[in-house]
Amino acid sequence: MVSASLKELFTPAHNTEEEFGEAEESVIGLYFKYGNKSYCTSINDVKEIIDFPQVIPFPVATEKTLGVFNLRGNIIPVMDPEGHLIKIQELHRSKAGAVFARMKLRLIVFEIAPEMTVAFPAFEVGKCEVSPEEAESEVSFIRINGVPHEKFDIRSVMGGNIL
Amino acid sequence: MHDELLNDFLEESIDLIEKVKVNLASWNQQENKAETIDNIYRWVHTIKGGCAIFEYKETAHIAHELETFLGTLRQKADSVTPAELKRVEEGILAIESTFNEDSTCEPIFTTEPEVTEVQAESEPNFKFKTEYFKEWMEDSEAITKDLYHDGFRFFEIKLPAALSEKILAKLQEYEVFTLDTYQKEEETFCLCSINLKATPEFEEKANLIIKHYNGNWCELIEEKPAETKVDKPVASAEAAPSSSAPVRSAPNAAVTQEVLRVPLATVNSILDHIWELFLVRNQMAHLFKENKHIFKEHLSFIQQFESIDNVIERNIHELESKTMSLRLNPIKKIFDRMNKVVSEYCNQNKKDIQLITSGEGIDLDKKVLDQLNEPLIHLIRNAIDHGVEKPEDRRKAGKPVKGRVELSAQLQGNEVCIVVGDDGKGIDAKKILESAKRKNLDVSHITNDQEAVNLIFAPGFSTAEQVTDVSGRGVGMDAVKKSIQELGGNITIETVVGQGSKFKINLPLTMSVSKCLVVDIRGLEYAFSTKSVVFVEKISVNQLKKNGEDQYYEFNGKLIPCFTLGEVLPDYREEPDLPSSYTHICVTSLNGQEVAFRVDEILQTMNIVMKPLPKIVERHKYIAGVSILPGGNPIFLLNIQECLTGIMSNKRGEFHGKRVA
Repeated sequence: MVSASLKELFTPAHNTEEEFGEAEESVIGLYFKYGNKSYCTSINDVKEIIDFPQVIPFPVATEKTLGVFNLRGNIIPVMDPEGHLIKIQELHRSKAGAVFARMKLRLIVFEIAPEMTVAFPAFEVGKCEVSPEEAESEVSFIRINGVPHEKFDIRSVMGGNIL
Repeated sequence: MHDELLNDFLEESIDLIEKVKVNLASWNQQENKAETIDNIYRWVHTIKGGCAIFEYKETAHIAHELETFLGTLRQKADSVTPAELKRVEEGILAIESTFNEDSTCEPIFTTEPEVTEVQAESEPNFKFKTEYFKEWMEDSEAITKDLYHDGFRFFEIKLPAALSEKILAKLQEYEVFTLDTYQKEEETFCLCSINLKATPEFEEKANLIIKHYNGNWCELIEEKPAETKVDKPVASAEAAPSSSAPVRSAPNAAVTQEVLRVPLATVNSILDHIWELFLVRNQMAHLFKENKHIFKEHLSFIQQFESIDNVIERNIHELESKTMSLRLNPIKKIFDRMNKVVSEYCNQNKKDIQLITSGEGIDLDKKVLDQLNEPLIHLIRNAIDHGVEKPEDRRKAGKPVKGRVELSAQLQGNEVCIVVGDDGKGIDAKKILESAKRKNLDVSHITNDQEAVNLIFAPGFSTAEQVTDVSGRGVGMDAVKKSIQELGGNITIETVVGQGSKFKINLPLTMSVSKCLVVDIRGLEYAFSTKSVVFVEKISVNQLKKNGEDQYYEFNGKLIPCFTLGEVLPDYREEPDLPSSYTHICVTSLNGQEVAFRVDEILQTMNIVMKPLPKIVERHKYIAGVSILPGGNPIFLLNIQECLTGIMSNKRGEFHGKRVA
């Protein structure tokens, strides 16, 4: 799930002084939980974060696609590459703003390329500040409040599915 | 109709010229230079074909030369020199400039200063460029007065002689009457009149005419009248034109309907907002439902809220439906163009051919329709040029002298089938094979006639002895196949030597509207085209006949196999084991055989615009596409034929498995 070259993933944040009271060239990331692990990704590809909508499950077995939902008229696939997040039956019965295992499930909508948008289910989504050293480091994780979060690159996750 | 065709041609040509320019500008960045050259070649070929139809002879000539030059570049796409690119660029600019010249040619409506005044007694002043019309007006004073009182206005126009016939025909289409004409050197002068009372949108009409032939608005030559005696305000001084301003008159919707051209992106953007509104309304309704108990003491509030919510919901649906319809165009639009193509090419080829069309009522999304235009023109050209024989040959073959070209569209299951057929000489597989060998094409894989015939889709293949304005370079069929494939469809040929050929284009209903049945199968909603089914019925499960695991349904007095669609679809029922005493049966045709299939519930029928699956999602043969229900939820569209084939295949597998065991 981790890309070998994550340096480009994180870009310097704009005027971080205003938001974080620091003049350092920190970068903005997004942390979230997926399965039983915590991840951190760049906000570069993130289009929006939404409450979990009603998802229509894909009627035939697929490797990575849970289902689809309507985002303002666009059909967006919901991906679950690890296949362990939630049972598809639960997904089908889910309504907007669904809560699974007492946690509020959200969708991170990534725009990988023009007309190529995918949504990724995640818990406990939040914005975080990442030091440039950590962002550019070859190490596969980033510490947030002392907790290691695996670096997450949506392009690597989707792998061969990206045309 | 002619003006629409010409307008379409000009718009299309301008688009293609732009495409060529963009591709040339980014030549160094192009990864597949051979494909780029092929594309440019195809676009120039299309422009040339259109020029031939609309008699842009000079442009057609330049396009022909450029096409020939591009033909040489196709052989060495990766080693094209900057000088050669420059030459292509010059060629395309030359084509563009001829369109511009046509658009800036002598204005139809002249406003030359050296005009002669003609005064009719107590009537408005008219200024005319020519003495001829001054005399004409004086001679016909009584007539002009009467006409003026009836709301007619006069103006003089000057036309390039070569185009005068065409323009005059167009003026008649717009209810502009030509009173007299005379020719001087290379120009034709006309005295025209228009009844402003009958056609208050004259300015728009005149603009349309001028856009087609001039590109510039030119003012009428008629002067503002000194005194008017017309009965109605619409033809009063306000409505009468002046030399400094175009005619402006009060809109009168009862006479003509105004048309507004809107970019497709704007329509799509509006749809996005409507769907967003859908979701917000759904959320609002959901929120209210969840908290309804709070208002249990206020029944009138609940009733009013629900009533207002119903109105909002209905209006959103209406709004969505109307906006969606903006993107649809009848296939008739293309078919009408083909009529023009046939008549023009028949004139050029000295052939007598009748175009027979059917299925014009089918609506297709504009995107599909636009991309379909070019392939259809190529197929029609080929049918005329290579298919239908010359009259003397037809007579010898015992065929009617008048040839037939058929153009039909039909919904077939989840596809639109468009057929371009002719009753000509057919395609001789042997000749095709020989020609392919002569051209050093790879024919090693050819094992039968059908495969040999399919060689006409090979790049650069052509059997024509002569390259004509119409066809014969072999670029057409290659381009046709490519365009159809880009739309996710395929093209096949049926041909009988001496009897004719049929080119069948099957296109998925992507982006096209179809009436669908929305059904429930094992707890999930699906849709499929009503064209897939010939009969539906709700029956008791006991009415099905059984033979072991197999089920049969009695239809029209005979037993037909009955399958359960749920066998190939997942189970999302909350209580899967709950037996149902009734079922819904749909009857369809599979490989020419009537078969029935069961669904749990038929929920409704509705018109659906099918969208392709997101690019990133794996394709599956059971899923034809996806759409969005009025409530905002996506719904998968099933390919019934594939589902049933899958069920039958599973059954055969089980049967053979059991026998082996």
